[in-house]
Amino acid sequence: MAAERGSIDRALLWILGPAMAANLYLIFFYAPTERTMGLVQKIFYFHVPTAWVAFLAFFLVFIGSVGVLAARKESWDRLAEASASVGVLFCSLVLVTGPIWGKPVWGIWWTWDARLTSTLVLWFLYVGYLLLRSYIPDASRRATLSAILGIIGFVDVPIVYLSIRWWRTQHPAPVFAGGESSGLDPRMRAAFFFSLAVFTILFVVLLRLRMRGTALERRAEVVLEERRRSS
Amino acid sequence: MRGTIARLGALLAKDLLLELRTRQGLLSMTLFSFLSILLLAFAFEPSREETRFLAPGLLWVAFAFSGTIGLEHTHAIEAELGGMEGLLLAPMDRGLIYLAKLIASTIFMFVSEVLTLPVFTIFFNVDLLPILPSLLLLNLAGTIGFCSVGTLLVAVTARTRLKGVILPVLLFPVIVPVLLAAVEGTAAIFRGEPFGTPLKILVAFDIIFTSVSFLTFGFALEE
Repeated sequence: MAAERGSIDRALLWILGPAMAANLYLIFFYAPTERTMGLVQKIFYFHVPTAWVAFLAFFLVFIGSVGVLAARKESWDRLAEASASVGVLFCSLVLVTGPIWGKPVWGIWWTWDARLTSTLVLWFLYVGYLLLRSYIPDASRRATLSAILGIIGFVDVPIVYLSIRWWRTQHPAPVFAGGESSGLDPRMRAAFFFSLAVFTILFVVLLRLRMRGTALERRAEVVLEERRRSS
Repeated sequence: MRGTIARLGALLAKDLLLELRTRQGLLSMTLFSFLSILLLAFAFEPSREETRFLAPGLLWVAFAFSGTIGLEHTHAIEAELGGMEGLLLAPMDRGLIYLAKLIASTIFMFVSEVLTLPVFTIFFNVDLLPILPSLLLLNLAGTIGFCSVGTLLVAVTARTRLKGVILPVLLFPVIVPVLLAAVEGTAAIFRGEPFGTPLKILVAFDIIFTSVSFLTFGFALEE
């Protein structure tokens, strides 16, 4: 079981390394440079995939949380915790790469638009989730109480988004959904989807590493506890 | 069904009676609300005309902070003399405990808001009397939303180390839609405009989060 898990991780890492290199090539050499924005537009190939990964991660926190309350298995809690940690990391990257692009293109670092503000609220929600976990020493209580927040937080996301959109909106509209005329250069599109796939693999690798890390942590705690008792 | 309502009534009567006898929760909430208004009056020159544009936001900042105190108080009274253990031993659905606490917190917070409005009128020189009915309706919807999540999260945070320290950090991001809709709705009322959309957002939030919290509250009390 453990050996099998290790071989999956190794295989993923073997894929990830060359894929990352290929991704950089596609983004900087294959995809054409955007006419008006210039080089800074390249950040789009990192910004959007990291945002996608962050949302995927927060969705998995929700799945893990429902699993904890329904099935009470420790592995669900590890999934929720690992997804939240990796999700917060990627959400932070979204919040950093956005303003770097926004300053030259919009002329401002930040604007109180629906997508930006929702992402910021999301970041606060899941940093709060991790903070809550750090405040509860008992493992099974930690799993249950944080699962409640994991569910509440996820249910909140669409309402936050809709309420802020009603409040105001400025973010560029999605460039994929609006038919042929709004579309991208096919090479840009290829580079983008490749980047999306690579970042998703990166997410899976990080998630698995984190889950294995917490499993080892817990086993170490058990061993320490036993040793303390026997001495 | 009738038994359920009787049990809910009994739980609620207990909280209301306790409050009537001590008046601690309402007093601390309302005083804190007054203090927030005072501090905000220091920060923003209250006699200037522009301050009126800030008024809805200022009001809800005061309500949100004092509401947090109220939530903690309503939950903390159960920690004394093993009150919570007694409630848990009672043969009934734990969702009922949630509903009773939600209604009690909403009543206390709403009363404290009503007491704060005259103080606000005097200090900020805004005439609230003609728009009072709309304002109270919107406030009620916002207060239910605030307490629906708050009642659940105060039960969650009460069982962590250092207890209520992280309640506001967890609560405020979740209630962003409530604060946003309440502030924008209040502003619309001040300007004499319709406030249907923010009210709808608040009612939707109330329904969704009362249901989700009702279902998950039992887990928050588990040993």
